[in-house]
Amino acid sequence: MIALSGIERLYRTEEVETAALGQIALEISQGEFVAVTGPSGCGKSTLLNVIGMIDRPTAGRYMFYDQDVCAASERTLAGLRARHLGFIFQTFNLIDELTITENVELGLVYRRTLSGTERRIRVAEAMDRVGIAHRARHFPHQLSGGQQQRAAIARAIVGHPELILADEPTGNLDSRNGSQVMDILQGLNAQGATLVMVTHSPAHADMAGRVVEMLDGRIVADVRRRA
Amino acid sequence: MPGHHMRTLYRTLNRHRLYTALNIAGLAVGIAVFLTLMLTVRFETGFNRWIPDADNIHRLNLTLAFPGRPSQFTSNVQAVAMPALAADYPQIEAYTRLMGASVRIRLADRTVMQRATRVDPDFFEVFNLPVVAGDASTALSDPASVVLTETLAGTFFPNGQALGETLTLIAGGRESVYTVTAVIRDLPPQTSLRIEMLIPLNRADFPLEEQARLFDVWNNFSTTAYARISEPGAAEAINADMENFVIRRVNPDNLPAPLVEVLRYDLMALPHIHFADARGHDAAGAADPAVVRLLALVAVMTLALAAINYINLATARSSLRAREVAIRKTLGATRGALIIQFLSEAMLLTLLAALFGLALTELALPVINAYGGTQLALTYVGPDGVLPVLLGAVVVVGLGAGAWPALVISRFAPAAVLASARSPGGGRAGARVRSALVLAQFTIALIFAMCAAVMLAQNHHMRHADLGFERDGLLILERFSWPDLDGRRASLLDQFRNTPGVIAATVSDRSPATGSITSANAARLGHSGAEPSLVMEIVGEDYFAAYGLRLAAGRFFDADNRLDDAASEVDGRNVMLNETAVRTLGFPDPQAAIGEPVYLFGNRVTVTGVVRDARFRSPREVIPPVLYRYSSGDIEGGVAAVRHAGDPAGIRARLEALWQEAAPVLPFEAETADQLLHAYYAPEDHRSRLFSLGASVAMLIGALGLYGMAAFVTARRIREIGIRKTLGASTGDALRLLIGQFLRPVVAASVIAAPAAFWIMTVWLDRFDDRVSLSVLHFTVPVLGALVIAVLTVLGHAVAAARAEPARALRAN
Repeated sequence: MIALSGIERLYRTEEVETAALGQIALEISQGEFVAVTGPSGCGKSTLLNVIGMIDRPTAGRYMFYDQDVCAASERTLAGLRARHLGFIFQTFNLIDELTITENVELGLVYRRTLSGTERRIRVAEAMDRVGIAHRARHFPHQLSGGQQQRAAIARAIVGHPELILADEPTGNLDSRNGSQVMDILQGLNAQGATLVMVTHSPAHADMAGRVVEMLDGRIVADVRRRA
Repeated sequence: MPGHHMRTLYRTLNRHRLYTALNIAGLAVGIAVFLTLMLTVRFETGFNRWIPDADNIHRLNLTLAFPGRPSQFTSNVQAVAMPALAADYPQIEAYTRLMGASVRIRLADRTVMQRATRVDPDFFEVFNLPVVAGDASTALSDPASVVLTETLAGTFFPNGQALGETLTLIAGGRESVYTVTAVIRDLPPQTSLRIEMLIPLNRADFPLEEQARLFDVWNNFSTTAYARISEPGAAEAINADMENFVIRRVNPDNLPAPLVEVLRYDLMALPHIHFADARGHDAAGAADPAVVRLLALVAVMTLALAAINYINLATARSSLRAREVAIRKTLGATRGALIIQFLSEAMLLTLLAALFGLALTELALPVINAYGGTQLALTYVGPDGVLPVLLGAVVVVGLGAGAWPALVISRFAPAAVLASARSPGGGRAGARVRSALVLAQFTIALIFAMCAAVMLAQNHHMRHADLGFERDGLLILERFSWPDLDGRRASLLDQFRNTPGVIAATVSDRSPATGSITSANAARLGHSGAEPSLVMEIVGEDYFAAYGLRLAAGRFFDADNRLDDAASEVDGRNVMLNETAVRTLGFPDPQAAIGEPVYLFGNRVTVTGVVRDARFRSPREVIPPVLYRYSSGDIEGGVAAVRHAGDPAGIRARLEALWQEAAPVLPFEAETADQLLHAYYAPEDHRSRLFSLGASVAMLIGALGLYGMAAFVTARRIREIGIRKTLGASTGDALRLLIGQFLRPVVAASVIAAPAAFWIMTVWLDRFDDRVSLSVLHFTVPVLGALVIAVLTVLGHAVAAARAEPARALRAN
């Protein structure tokens, strides 16, 4: 599904050049649950952004379903994101002006393939699945952190994406809410979704079938374990 | 999807109410000012265009270039001119002359005064005015026919049936019965012709002794003349041949200089005369094209200002939506979709602002009309409809204002936005653009404000400047020459003089305010070159006291000195001059002219006194050189003037009683100096006020923009302030930092605006003969005003940001 080779990501200012990623080679197959770990600033989020196609690598090759993503136009990337990807962020990134339903619906808005009725059904399903249907008409600031993250997950999964990218999804949550979120993610993976999750928590990383460990922009360990 | 965007838009606007209000209010006010000023501009540029076939109707203009005097543009031409022109140039299909007349109408119970226009029978062949009743083609063929406007017909015949009815008119001392042969629609305000009642122009209606003077000579200018010329290029061809016409036709007798030099005729199509008249003798009611262009410029600039303001606030606000954009992009939105989303938001907001602007205009128009004496009205559809203009403006402003923010916002890189706690503001380039926009905004606003300051100063100057005569306590009685008073003028004047409260009463051959082209060639011995032409004024006893003219040198006329009296037939008569005449004749100063001989039509006269120049007409007109002669006899065409002290109403009532005794059927009419000057000063005043309105609004929009920017920038600098305060900065330091940041563009704008405004106002003031001199205050006061406005505008935000606890400020980010 995902094949990265020789991926580099440099950040340049007028005086300094920082390598956030260096010579990354990584393949991820459909249905995998990959945890990316490492100390702060090691490039985990950058790697996730590259995989999620919201950041372009400076060098290297990224094949997504046999399609060369590096050479693709912005428009193609937007289409790929809309059809195949779901994002979950540490800071939830819900739009303050929209209700929870509308935020979740946003996961379908750019697909343009579904009718209004289908969209409503999907949104209701997604919210049901993460247990926030009762908060449907509320605005993000009216919800607890855990509820907001569940809404963000609902938005990520409402389009039935093959690949879910989660950037420290439990980083801003207490342990109870954190485990609830992890349960949901595990469930999604069990139903066939590919999951790539950046995390600081060893316990949560342990739930993944594969742990990629990073240091200074490079992959230093790639451990597969039996589930 | 659009529904979804609308929802987001509504909630965003609702959440950031301040920005929304500033954005919409700024644009709405800008649009309202744009509409109002454009209505004014269209009102002025649309003059006479409503008249059917206006492009083919030409007025005969005359420019008089008397030596020693600035050339004078007028529409008053000799009655002989147009018939001669029509005879010489067959391209003229029809013509009509117009001669103003004051007539009295005898009604069952009273006599009323009415302004009438005497016209040639072909009037309707030239002016195809809409006729409500009657047949235009025959309406003026009978010498005893009269044509009324609808309003006038309604006044005299309230039952609605005017056609075929009769009116008893007293004109030129003769009473005749006229039959109403047609009723025309009232002329709209956009008309240079002032017509209420038409009667045929008939030589036989004038006293025998006046007929030749009015109709046969080339030195009496008492008609305006219009010709219909449909053939393309024909009017230009006639104009090109005008010099030959003058040589061929004009009788050289009685004219003071070589003909070709003095008389320059030209035919001008109706749509142009409203602007052309501003430079001439008929300036009252005409529009100066430069002022109208300036108003159009203010309109467009105000709209531009509002658009700039919108762009600025929108780009600033866009950063608040960076996260939304990043999320949308992450979820698959393309840049194009986002651009469309933000552009349609801008269009929608502009449309909303346009609606508010329209409502504001509707509310403001009655006030503006009352204020400026205009009749501006919004029409929505049709050829003059504002809707197409408004929609055009919405599209232009919406696209113009929305494009930049749309491009900036849609470019945000989602990964960077989501990774950062802070929102991007469009980067350093965005900040630079915003600074440039604020600078542009304040430059425009300051130019407006500086120009408005000069205009208001000029208006104040015109209203209060020493005009050279005492304007308070002066009454001018123009009807003093009417035949009703024949044989009774001297005694009436004596009665006036003996009336309590009256200081002086006099008569002269013309009203100084109506202007005159009666001229006399004067020469000094030993001075070669063309003899300068002076305006000659025959004045009666107490003339200078009555008008309140002041002596510059020598003495006033003395009624007991026979040498002063033109009626005494003594050689070596004495004359007086005004200061301009002194200069025109080449004397170094007024004192030098005293006792000096001047040759008038070859006769030697002596200058015994010089009076200060007095301005009785438009401030744009140059004061003419005047030569005064005193006469104790009956002065032809005399106008009386009374100087009084005390209660004007009481004096007026006493004068009226005396007048009615002497002329029972001639209604009394007395004008004050202010009434006489009103026609010249009111339009100036009105246009300056409109300009000032535009300038104030421009300043207001600038302040709104600054307010929005202050809210945005201070919010973004709270963290920086927190860090600075942690390092020891005081609240005062922080305040200075923030306020200084906003004063810089105002100061920079002043530096750009001052020379621009100076240049514009120098050009503008050049059009006035009587003008205020430009002062540093005209430029510094607006700048100080702008600085104060800027400080007050940003103070609230700056204080809040500067006083914030550092720990909180740091945590906030």
